[in-house]
Amino acid sequence: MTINKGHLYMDVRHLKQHFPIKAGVMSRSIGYVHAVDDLSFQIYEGETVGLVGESGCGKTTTGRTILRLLEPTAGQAFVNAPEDVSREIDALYRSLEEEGTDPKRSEEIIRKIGDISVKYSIFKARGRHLREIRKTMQIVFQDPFASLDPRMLVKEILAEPLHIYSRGTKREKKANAPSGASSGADHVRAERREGSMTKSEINERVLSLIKDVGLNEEHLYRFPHEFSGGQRQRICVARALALNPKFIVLDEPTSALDVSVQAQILNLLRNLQTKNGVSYLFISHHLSVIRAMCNRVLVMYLGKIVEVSETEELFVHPLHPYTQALISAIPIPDPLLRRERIILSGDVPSAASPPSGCRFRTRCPYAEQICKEEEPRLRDWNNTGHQVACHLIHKMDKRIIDAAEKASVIAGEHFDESVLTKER
Amino acid sequence: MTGATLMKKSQRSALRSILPRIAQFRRQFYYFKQSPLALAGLFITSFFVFLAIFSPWMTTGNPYELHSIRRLLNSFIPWFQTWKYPLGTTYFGIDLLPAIIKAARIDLAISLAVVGAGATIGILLGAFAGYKGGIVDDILMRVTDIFFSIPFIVLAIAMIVVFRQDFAHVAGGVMTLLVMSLVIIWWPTYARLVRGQVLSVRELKYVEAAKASGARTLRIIFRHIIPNSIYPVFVQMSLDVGSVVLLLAALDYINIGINFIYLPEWGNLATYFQYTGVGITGALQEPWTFVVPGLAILMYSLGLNLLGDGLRDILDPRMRR
Repeated sequence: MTINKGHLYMDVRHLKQHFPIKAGVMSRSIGYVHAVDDLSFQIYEGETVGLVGESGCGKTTTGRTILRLLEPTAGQAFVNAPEDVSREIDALYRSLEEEGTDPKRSEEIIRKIGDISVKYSIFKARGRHLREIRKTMQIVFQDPFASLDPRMLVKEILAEPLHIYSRGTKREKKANAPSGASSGADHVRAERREGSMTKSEINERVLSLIKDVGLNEEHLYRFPHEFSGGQRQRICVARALALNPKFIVLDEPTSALDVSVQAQILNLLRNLQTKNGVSYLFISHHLSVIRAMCNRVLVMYLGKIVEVSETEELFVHPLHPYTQALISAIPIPDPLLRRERIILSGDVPSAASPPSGCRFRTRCPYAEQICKEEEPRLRDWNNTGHQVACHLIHKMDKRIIDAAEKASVIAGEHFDESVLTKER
Repeated sequence: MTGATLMKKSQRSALRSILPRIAQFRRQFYYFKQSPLALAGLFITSFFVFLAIFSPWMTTGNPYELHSIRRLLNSFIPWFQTWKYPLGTTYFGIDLLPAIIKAARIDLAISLAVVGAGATIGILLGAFAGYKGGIVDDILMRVTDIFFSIPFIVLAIAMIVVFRQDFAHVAGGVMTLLVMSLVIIWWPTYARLVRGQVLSVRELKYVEAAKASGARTLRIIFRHIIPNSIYPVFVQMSLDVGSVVLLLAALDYINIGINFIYLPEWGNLATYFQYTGVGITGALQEPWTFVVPGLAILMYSLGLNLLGDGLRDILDPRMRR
């Protein structure tokens, strides 16, 4: 089941995003919404990582924060670090977890991580360095109706990122001529000079972009309101591709579209991936789409990752009770199929005061004392690549294993024919 | 050869990017045409603009040339005694029709200067405050509040009394002072208006997309935020161009505005009776001396208000009936 993991593109470590709750006349903060709490994940070059979870669990916040559209509360996101550096980062974090008891040693490690992050973390980048990192990362938003400036022609919308970076280069050349290198960003500087484009080059690029997403030249001279939702989403995709990014956050790119258009957009995204080799972070709550698109899936619940696995593995053997419930909720277009749905009771607890221990325990049908007391860590299950954060599954709780087996039966196309006959 | 074809190509592409804007404008003008009041406003406003532009060619000679023989008003009562002075004359033997036509240019210039300067300051500060938020927003908005708290008449009196001497030898010195005090009064309205708009626009996804594309704050503000939050400002501007003249007239009436005889300005024209010593009862004997300039002010403000309402209707589709 393991795919050949290529170059590590993005390494997110202990990402936290807490929003203050303001109250009273002086707008003091009386608490924090723990929108994203201690998230770590990796994205490799050319892969699609799915991020699923119910509404309000912090999916979109994660996507926006790793592009630094929001300032994170804590954590690092290392972008495109060379192989040896990313190995070093990995080793440092590992030893930090193990030797957390010795304050002197861990301080030293934290200092080392800080040094590396100045150079490679998007959260530490400033000014020009940040712009250069941003150039390689883009986002496509959920709502195509709000994500295009209504006062700009499609042509201007597509040309904008190109203009921004062309202008930046000219200034860059002037600034760089006398002074030479400043701190950091040496590895991206080489690409920067190529980025400069003349007006006609920009026009050509815009034309090829609009053709890439299946629209024509005539569409360039229109305003966004003249397009349908699917066409607008294509324009959004084209804009995201303008700078040849290496990584795109797809924030529910198909949720606002109807099903036939969804398929078009998904195919478009997949074709572009094979053509350009971009990595996607695919945020969605539509599990079938995730299954069709992603190599790996992260399951989020209330700001935490509860399960990480290869897509098929996750759908066939969902281990975490929450994932099992999610998967059992996938509609299967077969009227004859009777299946046992796992229906969770209650609501998602407030992210302002998350429950102690395991965050899912308030709704988990199997919760025990330990779930209340200790927060489960994301660990490999049974020495497979399948990571899950649940005390009970790691203790091989029989009920959950059974449920996992059952869930595997009801997972879409992979269900067992024999169930049908039993039901009848 | 290649150069020529290139030119053609670039021209064609320029034309193509302009055409959709024309189409959009025509669509908006269609809605505008649906409202007779707005059309009337447009008509009245363009009439005054026409007067302002062509006044030097429309009035021959000096309206302030005193008609020495027949300088007494009484000789022109009743009003339409002669078509030589269709709107009558006012004190000092001034012919009202050319005076009013000349005044159109001055009034329009003052109101455009006030509104233009006020809107520019207001848009820049409001957009910056709204987009930046936080402490920048707080400080700028408190400053705005301070300016809001100044009563206009008091400020105008103070400025004119204090600075009149300094501006005495500047050309149009009093007018400069008046425009300045009006701008000081006017910009906070725009700052608040724009800030309110910006607060909603800055949360939209296209702003975030621009940020993700590497756009700097200034680019975001000027390319995305301001164009998308400026339409209410146009409406407000067209309304305000009308009301500046009203305020000027108020100042003229209490004798701290443009109170010299040789400057035709509608509000000023209406107050000439104050110099003659005839008093208010005496002035009521010759009502056209203030009614006619007053009507000019009324038409001007009314036209601009109707136009502003019409603009609001087409620019803000939610208000469209």
